[in-house]
Amino acid sequence: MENEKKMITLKSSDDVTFEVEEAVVLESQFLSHLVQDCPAPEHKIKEVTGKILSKVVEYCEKHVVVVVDGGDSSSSSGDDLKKWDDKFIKEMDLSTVYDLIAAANYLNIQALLDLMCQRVADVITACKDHKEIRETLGIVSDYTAEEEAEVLKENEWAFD
Amino acid sequence: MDDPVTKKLKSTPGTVDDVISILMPYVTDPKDRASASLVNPLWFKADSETREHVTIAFCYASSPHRLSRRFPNLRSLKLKGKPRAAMFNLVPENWGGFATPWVNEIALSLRRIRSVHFRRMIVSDLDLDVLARARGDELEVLKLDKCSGFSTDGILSVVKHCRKIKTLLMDESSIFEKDGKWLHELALHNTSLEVLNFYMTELTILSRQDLAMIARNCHRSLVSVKVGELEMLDLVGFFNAAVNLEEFFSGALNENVGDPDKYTNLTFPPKLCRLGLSYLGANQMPIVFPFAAQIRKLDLLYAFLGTDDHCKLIQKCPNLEVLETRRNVIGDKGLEALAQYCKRLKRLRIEREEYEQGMEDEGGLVTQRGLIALAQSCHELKYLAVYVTDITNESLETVGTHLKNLIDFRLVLLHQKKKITDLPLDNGVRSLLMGCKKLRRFALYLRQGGLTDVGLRYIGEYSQNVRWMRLGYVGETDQGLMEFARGCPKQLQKLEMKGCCFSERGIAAALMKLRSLRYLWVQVYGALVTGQDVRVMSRPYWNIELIPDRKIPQVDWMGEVRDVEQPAHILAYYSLAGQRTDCPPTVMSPEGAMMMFDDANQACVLKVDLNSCSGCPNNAKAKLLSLSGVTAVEYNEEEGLMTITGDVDPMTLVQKLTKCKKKAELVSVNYMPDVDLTSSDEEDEEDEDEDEDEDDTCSDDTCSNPDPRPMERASQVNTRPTNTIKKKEGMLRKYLMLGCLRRKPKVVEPFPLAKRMFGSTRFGNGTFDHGNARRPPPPTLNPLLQYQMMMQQGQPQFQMNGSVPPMHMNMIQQQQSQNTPYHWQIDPQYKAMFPQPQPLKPDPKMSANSGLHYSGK
Repeated sequence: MENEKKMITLKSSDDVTFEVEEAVVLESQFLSHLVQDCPAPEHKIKEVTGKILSKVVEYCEKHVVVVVDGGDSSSSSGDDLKKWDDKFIKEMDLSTVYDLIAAANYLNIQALLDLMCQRVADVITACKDHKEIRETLGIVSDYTAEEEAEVLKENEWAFD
Repeated sequence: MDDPVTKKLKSTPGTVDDVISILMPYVTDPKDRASASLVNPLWFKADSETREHVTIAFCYASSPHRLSRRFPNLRSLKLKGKPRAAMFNLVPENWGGFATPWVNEIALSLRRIRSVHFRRMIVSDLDLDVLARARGDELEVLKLDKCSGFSTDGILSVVKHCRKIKTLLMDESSIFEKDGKWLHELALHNTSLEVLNFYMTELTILSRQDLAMIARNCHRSLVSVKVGELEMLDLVGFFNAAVNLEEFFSGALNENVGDPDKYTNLTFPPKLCRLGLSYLGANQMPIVFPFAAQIRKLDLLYAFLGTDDHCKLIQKCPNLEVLETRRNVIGDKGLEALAQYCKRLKRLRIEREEYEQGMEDEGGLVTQRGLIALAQSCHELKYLAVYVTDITNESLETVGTHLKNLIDFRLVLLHQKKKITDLPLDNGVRSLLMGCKKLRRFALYLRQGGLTDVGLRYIGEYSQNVRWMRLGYVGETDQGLMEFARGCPKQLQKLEMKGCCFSERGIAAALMKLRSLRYLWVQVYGALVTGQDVRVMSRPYWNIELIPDRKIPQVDWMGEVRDVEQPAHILAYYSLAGQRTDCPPTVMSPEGAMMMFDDANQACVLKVDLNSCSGCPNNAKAKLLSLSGVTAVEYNEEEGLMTITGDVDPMTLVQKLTKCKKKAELVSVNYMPDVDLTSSDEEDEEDEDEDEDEDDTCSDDTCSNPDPRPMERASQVNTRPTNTIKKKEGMLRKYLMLGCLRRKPKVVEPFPLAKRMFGSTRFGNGTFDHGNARRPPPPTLNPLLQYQMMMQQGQPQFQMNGSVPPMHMNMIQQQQSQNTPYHWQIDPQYKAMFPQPQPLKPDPKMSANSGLHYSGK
């Protein structure tokens, strides 16, 4: 049965190749259009590096398998999937997460995008103010003092 | 392909700034959004573009234009207008809070708005029409919550143009009812309505057929309907059709002696779980039993149930989460029943009885006993608002120990018992605040001796997460208030105080410590004021307004009308929009009041020691005359008094002399207005009523329930000899507070105020039917009068003091073509952050808006 499945090769910007089942590719809206429009066996994705693409492929493969298998026992496999997602994300550093967000956005993989964005959003939510956000995420502010004061006033006094 | 996100992809590793625009929608809490917008300009932009909902807790804190500039893609807006005191009829009807400028902005610039919620605002029919036409079918939610100024014509416009509206709410609004066409239109054309609410309005022309048709056409979506007092038996068709209805308020049950079973066969929709039935009596209570187990919310405010009936009903509602009732019917017994049977209770609100004659039933009272039982069992309580007749420290401690989820706690100690078991409540309040760490809102209304300065200090120290606080009759001295402010609440944004004995100086000083405070409302406790103190409060962007003291005729339950003295209020708030221009004459802004002085007629008397040499008096005169505004200086050598006439700040005079090493002291400032003194600022036709502010307020009551002997100063107020004097002192107080005077002047003339425009209040028309005291009080008042006056005068609200009226759509469009586009008028400071085309011509408003606004000078 395995052999009957159509395989597609994805090539990253740095020429790393991944051979995946078509079903995996279909997780991505972008790629499924691409595959339909030009039925070549290999597709170069110039915008995504091999490191990130490997993560994307890993995520999609996992989700395809679970969805296919778990047709009837969805609740337990749903829990498993969630656990897997948690682990997947926990092992990742933030900079990979950002790249994955960009990749998921580009490749249009909604579930992956949601997962990654929520991960960062949770970090932001856990911070008590903007200074802590900057610190946690290593951001340098290029606000001028006046600009920052202006935004601060508006936030504190006017818009909740 | 070459947008920044994609480009960046090729050169990993990425940073969060690269993806922030994708990520921002996942940050949903407004607090987090506020922090995020401060991280850097990229984040700010991402937040601006993706913010969907904004609440503006006070509409004068910002301008409509600022809103649309910052959040152009807003989907949903909630805006609050008048101070909360308006709900207790303490604020003139025309105080402000006009929806017009906001509606215009929505129509012009906020083209994605789907949900609009106005609270305590004045909304005209024209506003509704403009909004309805601008948003059309995209408008899904319109909430006019405790608003006034519109008629059924306005609602008809909304219903006509917004066919897909899902929520139409007019809860407790004061609406002038012309006809019932709007309901018919809604019935004919809407198929997606979810919430229809005109609870506590005066709408009565309601066709039963239309209601039934709405239920049929929207049977899939309709989940909540709140109507007025409609006979339940007329609603059978409606109930049969509304198969998905979950919430229903409040048809009326009218007991008929001849037909005791008339409601027995009434069937309710299967999913009904939130219920409020007016005049539900013990005999009809069984109609609720069949589905009592699924009831989650119960409103018994207008039911005719005694303590035992409450207990009986409560037993049958194990899933009850929200209960609203009156305090002298539920009683400690009822609370104990709640504790025993309703473990899931999340919100409990116990109102005071409106008219308590003959209802004094010891069993119905709520005291520490009920509170303790409740706290020990209902651990999920988030909101607890109670009126109690007795209280102890122990009961408050119990609340602190058990109710860890409490977000909102409001306690009012009623005055009917002379002796309270255990006062002061300092330690109880401390334990409560220490225990309930999630508390965001806190209201405490006690009586003299209820809380000492020490207790006040505890409040400051232990309410670190409280954002909104309302204190009444607590504390003893300014020192206590200072201690409160010192510990205080880093988060405290809104503070309301009433009946506290603090001086203006004390309040102003405390204010300096409350850094996060953005809104302050104080009802002065009759004390005279020394003006310089409030001036201390002045700072950039801080607006101070005064609502002068006045007498409000009030109808008591015996039907007697008496005037109730309402002391002046101070309202102070941060605003990025500058001074508002739509103040009625009954509201003083410091600048307005300053301008009203006939400057040339001001005479300051200074005591100056000039006896050291003979040339001194002339020298000093010359120095003073050199000040701009001074028109004459006279010196009385014998008394050592110097009289200076002219438009000049008394303190400038004193400083000038002090600089020249002359000892000077301000003795008095006299005003000699040359206008007649006959006009009056009285407000009549006021009645009082009260109601709740579900999310930011409440248990207030003592507003309308003045403790007869709360503070010593009461006696000062009450012993004032005559009304005339009262009025004069009121005036005096006003100007003193405006920072015009340094000392209590010897002569101050009252000041004419323009005639008030139109009648006053949303509540009560003075025709209270006291024979009906157990009925729900008339919720709104005299919409007809208000409405007619507004119609006659076009938009009188803006013409009252000759200030610039907010423009309506067509006017703005005209202006646009001649001038710069409306949305280009932005502050220079701010502009850098928004790449926008430069205006062709600089708009004078631009500079006016960008400067600092000092309110008290």
